[in-house]
Amino acid sequence: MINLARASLSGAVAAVVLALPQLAMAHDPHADLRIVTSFTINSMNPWQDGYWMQEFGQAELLMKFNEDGQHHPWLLSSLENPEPNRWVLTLRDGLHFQNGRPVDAAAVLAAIDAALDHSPAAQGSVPDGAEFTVTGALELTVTTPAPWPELPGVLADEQVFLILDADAVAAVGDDWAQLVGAGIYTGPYTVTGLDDTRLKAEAFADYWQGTPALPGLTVAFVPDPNARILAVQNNEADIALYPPLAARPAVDAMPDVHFNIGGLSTGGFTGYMNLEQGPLADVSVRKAVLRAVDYREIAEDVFRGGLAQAHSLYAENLPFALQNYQTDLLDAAALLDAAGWVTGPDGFRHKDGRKLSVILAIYPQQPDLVPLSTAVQAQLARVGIDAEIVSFDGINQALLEPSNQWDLAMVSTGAASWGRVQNFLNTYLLPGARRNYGGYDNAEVNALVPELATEVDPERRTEILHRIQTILWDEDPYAFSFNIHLGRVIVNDRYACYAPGFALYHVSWQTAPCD
Amino acid sequence: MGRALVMRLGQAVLAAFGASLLVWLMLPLAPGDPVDMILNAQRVEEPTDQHIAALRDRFGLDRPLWQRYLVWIGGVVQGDFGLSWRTGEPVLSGLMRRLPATLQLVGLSFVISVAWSLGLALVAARWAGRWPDRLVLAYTRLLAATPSFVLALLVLQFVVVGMGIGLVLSGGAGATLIIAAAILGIDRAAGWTQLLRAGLLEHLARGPADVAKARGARPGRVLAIYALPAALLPWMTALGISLGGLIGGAPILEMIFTWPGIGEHVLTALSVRDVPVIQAFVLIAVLAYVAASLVVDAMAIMLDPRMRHARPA
Repeated sequence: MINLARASLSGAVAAVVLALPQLAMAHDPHADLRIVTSFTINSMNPWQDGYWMQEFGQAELLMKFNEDGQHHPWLLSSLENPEPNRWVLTLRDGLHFQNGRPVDAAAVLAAIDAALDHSPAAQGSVPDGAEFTVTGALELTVTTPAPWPELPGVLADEQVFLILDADAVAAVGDDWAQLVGAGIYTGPYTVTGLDDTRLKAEAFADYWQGTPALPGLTVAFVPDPNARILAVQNNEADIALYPPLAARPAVDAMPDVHFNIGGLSTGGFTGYMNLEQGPLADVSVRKAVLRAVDYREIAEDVFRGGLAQAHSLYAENLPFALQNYQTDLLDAAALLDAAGWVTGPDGFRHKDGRKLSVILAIYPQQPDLVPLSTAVQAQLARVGIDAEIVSFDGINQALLEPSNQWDLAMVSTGAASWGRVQNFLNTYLLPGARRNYGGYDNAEVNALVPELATEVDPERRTEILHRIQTILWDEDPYAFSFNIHLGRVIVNDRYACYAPGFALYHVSWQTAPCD
Repeated sequence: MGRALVMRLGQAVLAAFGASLLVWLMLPLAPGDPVDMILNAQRVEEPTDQHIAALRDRFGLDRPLWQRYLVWIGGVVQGDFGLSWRTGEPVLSGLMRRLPATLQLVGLSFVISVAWSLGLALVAARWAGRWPDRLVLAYTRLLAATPSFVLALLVLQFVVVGMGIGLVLSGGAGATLIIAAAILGIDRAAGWTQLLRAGLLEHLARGPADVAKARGARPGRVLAIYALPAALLPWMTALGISLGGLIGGAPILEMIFTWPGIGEHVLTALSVRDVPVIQAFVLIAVLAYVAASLVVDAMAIMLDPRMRHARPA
């Protein structure tokens, strides 16, 4: 009997213990860059997963959106707008795909046509009647029925027109795995392997900007944030993307591991107020909420510099961003007083027997919303607004579902992703738009947004965007930024100098270890 | 015996049908427009009207509910769970590609947990009320209250990173399989140990064991010959039923250990509301559970003649 027990226990233990010698393997650091990211690249299908290739150095675009908030030529040598309805795109000379084929105007047109055939993002980004034509060996002309000022942003958007060898893509049909090693892009690193766990890429020796700094790279797909941090700590990865801010104190205490904060992004946690039900239907309460939020405290005290302070709806590096956010508790209190909300013995405001109480809607996919919503709850209480925090799974659907009760939703949003402002305005602010969660309908905004879509004069564009920001703060508040996101990564000593990529450009041809 | 088996089979078929209906209802009962969910899963921000219409047509969203169910279940019966909204690949091929890795993990963890719980329960029963028993009880209570993902993170931090044993990023390596399976198996074994220990103690206190003890049989022999066979039956039933829990616990372990099973695939599907993948996973898990219960029932009917005439409550 004792032998039976002993045998059972030892059988279980043996499976683990006997394997330990094989488990204790040293991991030699090697020259390739090793990135761990939370998202999985599912396939080489360029219309479904191609945008990742731009982020990790395989693919490139015609234009690039830079930290200065401007669009700059990337594979183009110039982008000109000689007439309101005509753009001229001139390619750099001597470009080649990784498979050796030349990148000329015909090849770029083929890539654009293929995207328009297969990619919903491309189809949704190009206005009806737009025509792309080859007008020279390295020149394309775009003509549109109406002016198209967003074209530079569209050409810089990773979801729209990746420059790829359309013939090579067409040749594989739906067998996307055949594109591994096919060299269909122009970037400094060619995909040499892709499975369910990682992407591998090797340097493209004939890259047009110069020899890539690394022999290759791997991007491992690790959804769990703790595992990503541990991978860097265990020297199995050099860079971990998308670390939660809550991990910063623990990482700061680790030797040889660094939590690097980068520059401003183009989005942040955006507040959307419900105008269709509850107390925020009252414009005075909405204005009071904006002025009660302490934007500096959120950025500097709550997130200790891990997020940037919001000064307006847009990040301050964008040329059209105002600096109109101002925390003002006295003003907020005065607005509520004037609207008839009187402070009661419980410290909260009441009107007609109703307590001024709002529901803050957050969602579990963004763990940083927990400290943010808790901070906002405390800030609103300072002016007598009670707040309850409710987490909704699937926030986009939940906010549009009439049976769900919410007043102020906190959603991570890019208000000007890749410098494109039209997408956010069209999708979130116009009546009937897909993500107009709170039923916003402002006549002036409704007129300004379509005007902006065809306005090419930079001064008038800035004027329109300033006016929209003013309306959203001073006159008819609805959407506002709690903060602006900053890039952040966890790195090991070798990459201690690595700065988080702006606009998701994680790897360039110059990305290299610090030494 | 044949009649009892046929009855159990009939119940299993009914349960499977009911499960398929409930699983399918996940989509029509979910709040919001399914097209919006598909667009979210595909990260499409500005869909054209044509794209929306094409999605409705492709996924049959304009048809009446009963037609949609019949089309779906008709496909399921033939192994066609539709296309993933997120990746566009057939749901079943995405799951089947990852299934072997999950089966490896679940299979090994099952073996570990059975052996571990059997051994611990025998030790506890042999020295009931003494320190080995108290130690086993304390250990199983602690583990039963510890979620497997907490255990996994502790092992990663202190064993993998701290002691340099194994790797954080598995990439499908066997070393990680053993660590992950051991955690899952040992965690699951806690409840099974308590159950088997209780059964052994109950049967040790009954007549046949008492008689054997009075005749001077050694305690180990009494435990092995009189108590263990009788205690095994309910324990095996619990094992079969708990297998579903083992499968259900695997995804989170797979995600933490980057084990390339269906776990990461399903958790990602959950986060982006990729309903066809979620439906397929839930249905397959339920069917596996029903099948495991059926096998356990069949074994019980074969082993215990009284079960052949038992009617379901």
